[in-house]
Amino acid sequence: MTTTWRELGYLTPELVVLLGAAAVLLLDLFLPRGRRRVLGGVALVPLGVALGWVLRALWAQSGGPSQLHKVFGALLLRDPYSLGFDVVFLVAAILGVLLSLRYVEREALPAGEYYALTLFAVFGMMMMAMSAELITLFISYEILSLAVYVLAGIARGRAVSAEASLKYFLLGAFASGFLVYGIALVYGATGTTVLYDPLGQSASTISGLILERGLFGNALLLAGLALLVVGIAFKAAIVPFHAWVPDVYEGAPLPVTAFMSAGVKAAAFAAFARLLFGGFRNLGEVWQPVLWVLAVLTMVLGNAAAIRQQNVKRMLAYSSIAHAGYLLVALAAYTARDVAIGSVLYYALTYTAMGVGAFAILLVVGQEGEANQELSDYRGLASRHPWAAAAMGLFMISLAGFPLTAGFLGKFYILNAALRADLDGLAVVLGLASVVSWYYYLRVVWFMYMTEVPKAAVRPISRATSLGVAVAVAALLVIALGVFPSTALAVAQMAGHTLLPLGY
Amino acid sequence: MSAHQLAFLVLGVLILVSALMVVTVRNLVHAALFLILCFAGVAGLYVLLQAEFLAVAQVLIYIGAITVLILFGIMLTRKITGGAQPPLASHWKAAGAGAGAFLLLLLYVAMTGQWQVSDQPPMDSTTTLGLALVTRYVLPFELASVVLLAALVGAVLLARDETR
Repeated sequence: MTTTWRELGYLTPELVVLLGAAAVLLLDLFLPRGRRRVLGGVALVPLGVALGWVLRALWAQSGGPSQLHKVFGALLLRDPYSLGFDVVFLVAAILGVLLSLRYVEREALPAGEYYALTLFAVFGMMMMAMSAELITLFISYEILSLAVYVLAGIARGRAVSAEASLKYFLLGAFASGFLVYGIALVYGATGTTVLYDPLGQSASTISGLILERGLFGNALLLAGLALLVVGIAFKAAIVPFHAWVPDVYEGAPLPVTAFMSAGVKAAAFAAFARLLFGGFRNLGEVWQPVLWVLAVLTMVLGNAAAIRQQNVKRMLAYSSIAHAGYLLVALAAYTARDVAIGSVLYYALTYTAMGVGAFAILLVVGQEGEANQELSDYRGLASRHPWAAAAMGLFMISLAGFPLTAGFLGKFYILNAALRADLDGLAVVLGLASVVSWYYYLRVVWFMYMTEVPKAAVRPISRATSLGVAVAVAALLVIALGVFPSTALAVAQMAGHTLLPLGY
Repeated sequence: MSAHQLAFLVLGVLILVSALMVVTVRNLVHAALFLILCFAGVAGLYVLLQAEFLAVAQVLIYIGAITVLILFGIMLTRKITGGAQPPLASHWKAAGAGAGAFLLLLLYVAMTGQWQVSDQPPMDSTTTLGLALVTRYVLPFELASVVLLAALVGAVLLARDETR
């Protein structure tokens, strides 16, 4: 079993991002203090190159047969599924870096470490989406986790940031423990850590052995699966493993919150779908009811808590929990898997665009030290700063799921999958939860457009070019995905199909 | 009772008692010392299972590095060496119920689950492990270095003197 250069070539985007992290760290040593702001630009280069490579690879496969390569034995899979999620991670990271350029300077954060850790986190996410083996999955999960723990606490001067980091770290360490325990039990039950073999060449995989030895009711395997689900559900911010979310999202620096709300969640769902649909596909009847319950809890509690928030950052944190619930609905629709996985990927991309976009507007309106995040700070924004208000309005109605926006189609495809899997009840809950969410999303719009403030109380907004570019890119993505979804959707569907090849 | 079983029994009691002491003694330095005893017991279990490499790693890493680090941490944080800390947090009843339920679940699973037992004779575990790390599992092995690098950068960043 040798790994050739050709195989390493499949890892080009991952290696580019990793080398970029090393380059940022080294450059940081040699740059004088005043010139460290260029590091943000340096960090954009590997992200852009990797995104270009990924898009080109997806483009090359979009017409013809999809390509699937095993790298390092069967530890990693380079398939359209992982490429599709790479797009999500890279878009989230590029937007995140754009949001950070001015912020890092203004808040005097250590630029070298900040961008290097962002790139490490992206590397971990990309490896997570490729992992088809539990040990590799766990180590990728740890790369991502460690980088994000530190990023959450990087604004050491502010007590809330340090608190967010510590809380996230302590609870995250438990989640990692659950994940490892789950891996150990699954290994004990099956004797392997390889999830599945999409080419059907090897039978000694978890999915193969479940069938071959009839391990359906094996207590070890079921307990292991339950612990794996807990470990990943924590990162995906799923109720009841969500207690950290509001405090961490509120305490972390805004650009980090934007990046992690989209990126970490997408990575968790990428691994989740590969785990459930790949490795434990034959236990679908066991895990589907569990996901059903988790999805309902997550949607209901996320939305119910978001309604009560007066702070927009905290409101978006709770709404991010609700969106994890919508994604879970798609995972629960496993009997309609040919559309379910594609809808997860599509929704992850739309949530990245609209979620990061909304956080970007928070940065535009907010001031030094993360001030101006109360709902009342949005009073009369439309008359003072019409463009910022229009963009925020767009992100809000997209998050709420109104037609002609990406959020609507994302929810539509998830509903479609749920209905095709005969999960009518879950579809109804999703619909009702969305209606409830209109209240708190539209309230922001109402404050911006329907209320006025006296001239004296008008506050300035940030006008950094990088922020403007980020908002524009996010807004364009929201509109493009909402009006011309066919290309992205076709890619998402193709990616979904490669996860379940050969005789499934 | 064979010598093997007797050794297991002794080690098991040692691990359980020292683990209990870790969470109940009031003096944190004593707690850390009991933790060493607990880890040593686990290393003994590994020896019983013929996993010598794991046993040595357990001694080197858990006793040699982690507990020493904990001791350093306690000594450097002057306020908590005094030993006046209440050992139980406020939600200990709920936490205990949760942990107890989890323990019962694991006991049930361990008793009823069918473990996959290899029918091959035990091999030299150090050689096998070493070979696996540089062949089949070379990728996770290399990725671990990225974990360490990210952790190192993060630790330096968070621990660095703010004024510099």
